[in-house]
Order: sequence, then C-alpha cells, then structure tokens
Amino acid sequence: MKDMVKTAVTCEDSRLIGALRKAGADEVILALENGCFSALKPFAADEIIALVSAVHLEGMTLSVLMNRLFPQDEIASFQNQMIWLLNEGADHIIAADPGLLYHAQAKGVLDRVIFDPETLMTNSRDALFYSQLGVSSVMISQLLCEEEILAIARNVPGCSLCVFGHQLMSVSGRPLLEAYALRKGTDSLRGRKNLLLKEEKREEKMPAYENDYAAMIYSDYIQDSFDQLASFAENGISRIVLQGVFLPEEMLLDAAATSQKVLAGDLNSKEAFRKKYSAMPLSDGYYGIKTIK
Amino acid sequence: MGLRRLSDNMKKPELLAPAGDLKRCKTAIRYGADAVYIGGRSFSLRSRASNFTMDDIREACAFAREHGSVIHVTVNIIPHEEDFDGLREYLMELQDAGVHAVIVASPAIMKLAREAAPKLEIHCSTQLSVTNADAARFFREQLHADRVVLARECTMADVRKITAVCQAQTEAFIHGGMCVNYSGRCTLSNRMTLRDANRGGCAQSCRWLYHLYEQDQELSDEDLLTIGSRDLMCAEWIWPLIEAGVSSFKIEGRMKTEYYVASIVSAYRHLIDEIWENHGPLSGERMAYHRRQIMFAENRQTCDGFYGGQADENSLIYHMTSDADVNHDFLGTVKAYDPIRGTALIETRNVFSTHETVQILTPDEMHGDFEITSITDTEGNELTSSRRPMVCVEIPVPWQVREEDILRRSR
Repeated sequence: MKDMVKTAVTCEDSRLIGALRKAGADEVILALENGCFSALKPFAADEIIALVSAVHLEGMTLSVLMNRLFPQDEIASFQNQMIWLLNEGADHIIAADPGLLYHAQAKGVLDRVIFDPETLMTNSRDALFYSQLGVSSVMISQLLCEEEILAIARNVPGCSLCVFGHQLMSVSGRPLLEAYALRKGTDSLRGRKNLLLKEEKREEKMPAYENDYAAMIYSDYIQDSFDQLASFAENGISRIVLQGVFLPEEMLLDAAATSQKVLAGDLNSKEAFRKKYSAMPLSDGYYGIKTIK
Repeated sequence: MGLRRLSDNMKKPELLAPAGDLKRCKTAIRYGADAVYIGGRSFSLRSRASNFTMDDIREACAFAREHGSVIHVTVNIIPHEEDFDGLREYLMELQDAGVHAVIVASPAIMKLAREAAPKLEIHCSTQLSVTNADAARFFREQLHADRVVLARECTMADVRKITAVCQAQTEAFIHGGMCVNYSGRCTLSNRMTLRDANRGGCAQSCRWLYHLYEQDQELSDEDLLTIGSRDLMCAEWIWPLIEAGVSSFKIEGRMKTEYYVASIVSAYRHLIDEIWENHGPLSGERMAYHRRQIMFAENRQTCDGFYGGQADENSLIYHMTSDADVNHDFLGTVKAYDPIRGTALIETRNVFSTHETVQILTPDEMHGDFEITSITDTEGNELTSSRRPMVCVEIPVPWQVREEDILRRSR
C-alpha cells in the first residue's frame, strides 16, 4: 500500500532534506517567499532552484508552495516565477489562485500544478472539474469527515490530502495582529512564530502568524490521520501531505516515518508515536464529525 | 476631486440590494434597488436569513418585473456531496420563476446551472476571492460566468484592471458587513461551533473576544482582541467605481432589518443618481450630505475596505459589537394616509411619545423633521406615548406620505 501513496513533507531547513528522505518522504514542499499563505519559513525563488538538484539526488521531487491569492499588481510577477521555477527543475507548483491556473494552462504546464484552494474542495464534482481540466492533483479540504473524503477519493483519481500538522483555519488580508500592537503601543507582532490566540471561553490555543500581506490562524490541534491512512490509500488518495509548521523537526520526521510504517501495515507504530507526543494536541479533526449547516 | 467625466456610452451601474424575506425585498425595490439578491431555503449562505419559499421567489420576481427590477438568487454554498440532491430541479424552478441570475461559488454548480437552466445568468460569488484579471478570465473562459463578484480585498487599481480586461461584468461591494478573512477561506466557525461557514452556518466567531499569548505569556491582559472587520462604507468610491466601469454595486446585509434596507438603499440610490446626473464627482458639501444619509442606517464603525490600498488598523473593530453606534430608531411603518385630516396610520415598532421630533423616510424625497403633536389609538383614545410594537396608531404628518414609508427618530 505504501507504493500507492506519495508522501509530501514541508521543509523549513534545507539541511533536513536527507533526513526527510530517510523518514520516507517522496516529495519536499518549499514555501516561496511572498508567494504563499503559510507560516512556513519561506525560500526565495533562486534559493529553491539551488536546492532542486539536492532534492532530486535524494530521489525526491520538489514542490513549491504558492497558495496565495495574488493582487493584480503582483500576479504577473508570480506567474513568471512559477514558469521559471518549473523550467529550472521544480516538479510541481501548489497553487490556490485561479490566476495561476489560467497562466499555467496558457503555457502548457497545468499538469505540473497541484490545486489546493484549502476550504473550497469539498465534493467530488468540483474536484473532478479541476482534475479534468488537467491539474496534476486536487487537494481535498480538511473540513470533511472521513466518509466525505473517501467519496471524493473514489470518484476523482489522484487526489491529495493533508494528513498531519496544524491546519490553516483562516487567512486575512488585514493586519489583525499588527493592528493590535499599534493600538497597544507594543513591539511589532509581525513575523513572530510564537503567538497564540485563545477564544475567551475556550482553553485551546491557536497558533497565529502575520507577515506583510496576510494574517493566518492555524488549528489548535495537530491533525493525526494514522487511523485513516490505510483507508485513504485503498480508496484512491495518491498523495498525502505532512505539514510541519509550528512543530519540532523531530516530530515532523517521526510523523513521516510513522506514516510509512502504518501504510506498510505496522499498526503498532502509531501508538508509539502518540505515546511519544502525548503532550501535544493530536486530534483526528473532522474525520468523525460532520459539520452542520 | 477629479475632473474627468463619464463617457457617453457608459451604462449606469446596477444598485444591488440584499433582502432576507419578501417584505424586505419589496422594500428594497420600492426604495430604488435595480436588483435584489435573495436566498432560498437551501443551497445558500446566510441560511438563517433565507426565508424565501419558491412561491416567495415567484412573487419577488413578479414584483421586481412590475418595478423594472430583477432578482438574483444566491446558490453560493461550497457544497458537500449531498448538497447536490435536488439542485438541478431547484435551478430549473428558479429559471421558471423568472429569476435573472444565480450567484454561485462552485464550478460544478455553475456547470449544472448552465446545463439545466441556461436562461439564468451565472455570477461568480465573492467566495471565490477573485483578486486579479486572470482569475476572472479563468471563470469567464472555463465556466462561462456572466459576472464576477470581486473579492473585497481588491484595491481600486485591481478593480479598474480586472473590469477593463475581463469579458465578464464585474460586481463590487459598496456597503455592509465584511468577512475579516478572505471569504470562503475561514473555518473559525467550523472549529468553534461545528457550524459550516461555507454552507450558511457562520457563527461570526471573528467578532468574539480573544486572548493573545506569546508562548505562555499573555500579551492581551484585560484588553482582549476581536478580529472582526469594520463595515464597508464606500460613498467616496462611488464615482471611481462608476468610472472604472463596474456593472453592479452591491450592498451586503441579508440579515439586516427592513429599516436598514430602506434607508441604505435610499441613501445610495440618491448618491448614485446625483453622481450620474452630474456626469462626475460631487462637491464636498454634497458628499457630506450623502454620507450623513448613509450613516443614518449604520450601527457599526465603518471603513472603506481595501479600495484605497492595503487595509490598515482602522479597518478593524476593537470591541464587541453592540447597538452603541446606532444613531436612529425605527419607530414604525406607514399603513395609510388621510389627506383630509393630514394624519398617517402607523404600524409601530418602537416606543415614541408626543412632542418628540421624528422624520419620515420615503423612496422619493427627503423631508425635514417634524414634531409629533398627538397620538391616537384605533379606538380614538388620545395617548401620550405609543408603547406596544405592531399596533396601529394615528399621528398628524405635515405632508402627504405613502404606504410603507418609514417613521424614524434620531438618537
């Protein structure tokens, strides 16, 4: 079953590329500077290109996260960067903006784009539309229960799913944190990765991060899909994503390795992982709960 | 202000108003909306505001036709598998009812609408967050969208460029509540309440209070954050939006009251008409007048969103919302006018008393204030105050008024 599923893992430090391979990664995801809605450490386009051969030498593919919604005055620049990155050896672009899809289609490289519109991919008909358009893979929303995910996976070949890590819950174009700092007269809160929001009546704390163009709030919980991995693979999910943002490197590597073991049939490995990280807020997210209208 | 003038071949933009039920829909049309967007009981965001049965939708379409207006229906959920059940039939019924357009966020629903109900125009919902011209082209060329509702994160420069190059019409928000996050990309409500924001269940969790921590140390102390956005108010941007060629000016607020709908539609109707007649921007004095009229309806702090550039700290609300900023009370609706006695029959909504100064809001013209000199109940008893809602009382009004005109009072 392991061979049926490609494992993609985010990377914030190029020195980890070898370790990611050893942990079982098939694909490394690097965040493009100013090009994504993510708190991952970003890389400039030329830094990414410089890492292409290192990733390929390890036998992995390289994907570039460009999931930002681009304003008019920036879209052309990022369309050009997308093509440049692909021409220079990046294997895939992970995009959310239809403006990138439009350009990729015009340039004949749509089959190297993974479409990840976060919350919007919630049914097989929409997934099939983008799949038939010719994208490499469609990323299924994390808001779905297990049965809903499986229904899409069965109907649409080659879907992706984020199975591990803090999930992106919201993206704002407004300076949610910096505005608060300005109002309070405190130091800037921009670019800090140790900030947490807690709703007044709840205990859970949600990582929050803001850069020059977006404020992002992540889930308080860390998605844990080890119980569902086999079912996902059997039903057609062909690419799983492990998201390391806000997590210790060791935990991400362990999660990647555990995923491989679980897919190979070693069910004890997931309990060992959970025991080792019992202090962390692991959760199966929405898999067992269907949201209501 | 700029000196440019409208070109002769420019089309006057549509004023598109919200309505949560048939009464508010008729109010919006009566007060000057060129189009009204409504939601059915299924397939729509703001499901709690959607009280339109198919019979209501038919009646809304007929009423709109009589008054030279049109009806758009929101079918803008981000659907799950089961949400397609009955959708084809629903779209066909909307077409048969005389609906002009559907507002859609799902490519699959757009395709289904094109196939099952080809007379319906397809408008891409703001849930799709179109922020650049190629994104708009994508939906036009791949899904034959007739119109693209622009993301509220668009600057005026974005609006100009997208409108200039895209073959589809563009629609831009000019007033009302805004998601603080990119529309459709927020799951705070899902996490906090299990209510799916993308299927009509948004609990507006962004308007709740939050503590902020740096690791374990609280930074917020007693001054908690809300992360909600101020409402949009675009009086100053009407002229640039007209000049940019935007086809439709949208007011948000399907959850809002009949009074809000009447006063906000009326205010923007007069502003747009005056700018259009003027063939250019208005004087500072006239703009100040129109801004005041708009703010009579508003009960939250406002900002101009992203039109002037990146939104800043002044685009956010820093306290729990309340009615503290309400500046007018909705006192009642005119049910009849007796021209001989000069009295209006008012169906009451809030308490009012004799000797209070009030106003009448009408679709056509703005009257001055007047004092309530007497209040009489339906049995002929003189009252000093009207205290019960939804009863009828009679008051003298110094000019002729019409059914459904609104009685209001400044705070």
